[in-house]
Amino acid sequence: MIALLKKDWRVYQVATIGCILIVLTIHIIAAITFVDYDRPIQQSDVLETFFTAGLIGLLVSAGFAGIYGGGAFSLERRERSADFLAVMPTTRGRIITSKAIVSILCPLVIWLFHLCEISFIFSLDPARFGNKGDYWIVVTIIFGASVMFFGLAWLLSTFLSSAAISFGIAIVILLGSLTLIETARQRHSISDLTAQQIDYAWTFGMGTICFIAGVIYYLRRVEP
Amino acid sequence: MSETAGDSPIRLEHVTRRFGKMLAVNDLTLSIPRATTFGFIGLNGAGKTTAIRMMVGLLAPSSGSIHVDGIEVPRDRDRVKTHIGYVPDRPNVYPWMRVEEAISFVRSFQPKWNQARCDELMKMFELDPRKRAKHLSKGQAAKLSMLLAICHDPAVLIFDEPTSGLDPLVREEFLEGVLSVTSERQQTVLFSSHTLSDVQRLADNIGIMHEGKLLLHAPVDELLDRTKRIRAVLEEENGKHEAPPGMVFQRVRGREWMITVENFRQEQIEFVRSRNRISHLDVQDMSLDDVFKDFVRGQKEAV
Repeated sequence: MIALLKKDWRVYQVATIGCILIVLTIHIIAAITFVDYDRPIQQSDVLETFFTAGLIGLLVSAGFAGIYGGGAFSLERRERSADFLAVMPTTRGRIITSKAIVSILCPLVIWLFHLCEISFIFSLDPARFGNKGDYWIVVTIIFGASVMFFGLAWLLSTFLSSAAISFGIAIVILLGSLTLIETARQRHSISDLTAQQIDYAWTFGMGTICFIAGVIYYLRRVEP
Repeated sequence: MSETAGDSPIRLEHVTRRFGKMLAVNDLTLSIPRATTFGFIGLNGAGKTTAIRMMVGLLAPSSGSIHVDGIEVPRDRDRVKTHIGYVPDRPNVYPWMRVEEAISFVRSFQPKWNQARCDELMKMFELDPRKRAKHLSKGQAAKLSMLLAICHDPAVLIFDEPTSGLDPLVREEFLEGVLSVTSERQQTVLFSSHTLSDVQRLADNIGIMHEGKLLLHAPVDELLDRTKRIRAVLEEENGKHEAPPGMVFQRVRGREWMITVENFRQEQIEFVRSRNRISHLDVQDMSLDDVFKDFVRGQKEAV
């Protein structure tokens, strides 16, 4: 299992480094805004800037969840190393467990880092960032979107040979379905709270179902 | 060796594989005796790789049964993997892995990994352990694939066109490697290749695949012994000619009439002499290359 985990970590290394670089860049840009600041820097300015950077980081990690899901099987299939792995005397169960651990853990760590960041900033000055309910709604919707994005891309990756196509189809379905929910909300005068609950239930539920479907399909499939 | 493998570690019975409407392998029945080398030949798209992928559990047959070392594939595909060494047509080791990492990766899965043998082959193949797979030459990558496939001493070794794309010198070295590793052990080897001289050198038996079907399955020596080319010179250019029984393929160019026959016997010569007006006749031995080409051409003409 250790060998599989090390291998999967290495398969995702480029994506992980890319994600870390983007997140760092966002924070560096946030810091640069204070160079040549046109007035004395207040604590509230710093908090607001980094709160925004943290929220963007959350969205970036949601995007990377799709990359990790989309690359789960298709990256190896594309470069034919899936065949190499498939002739190793290990079970499909172990292979998929290792993939699931690495591909969930990597975006989750980045996601949690940003959650901690914005929670910390929020706790320093709660009044400045709206009420607590609004804050949690944003976080849960981004989390739900991350789960759906990951689950959809993961499922598509079990039978497609391109991580980019898996990622692309997943993002179209995710954004398309959220737009439909929003349109329905406006037409049928559904309250904001109910719409948010529908969004969350849909994205989280759909993501989980797709992930499980991908696992079952891969376990039953003979081809790598 | 598996208890139920008997004398045929590779056994396929009525195996068919379809891809949509295309029939890639059509009712293939094949049995390869233990400790022999089987040469698997055929044109591109004949169904060799599909058949091989089914044997190693990378593809499920549409119908029929496959047993490798007594284990049913793909039903018990996880169990069969310690019994098989598979060298694909294109090396498929993770490109970012160093040679030593690839060895360590495979070793972690193979309970019967023979490190002494691995070290010996590393020296023999002159592989640099620090080199990444993506930086290896084609020949070195093929050798690494072979090393990874054989160091757990599998009962069955399957090579799927491993020499394709290699230059003659590297191909020679690779074949020397195959010969040296297989001659010491009682392994059953399936060797698929387009280079028939390689197959002739390695194989005890050959099978010719054509359009998903096994056209022929015979010991190489016996096949070459019993397949002959009768060269007759007709008295008239493009004159009437009646082919003998057992004709596989024939071609007339001007007065020259070439007939490839199987199960060669004297009666076939008598037949040609008695039924045709010919001025000269001789019998020629054939190379495996010519036998293969004529069997395939004959099949195409029959269709």
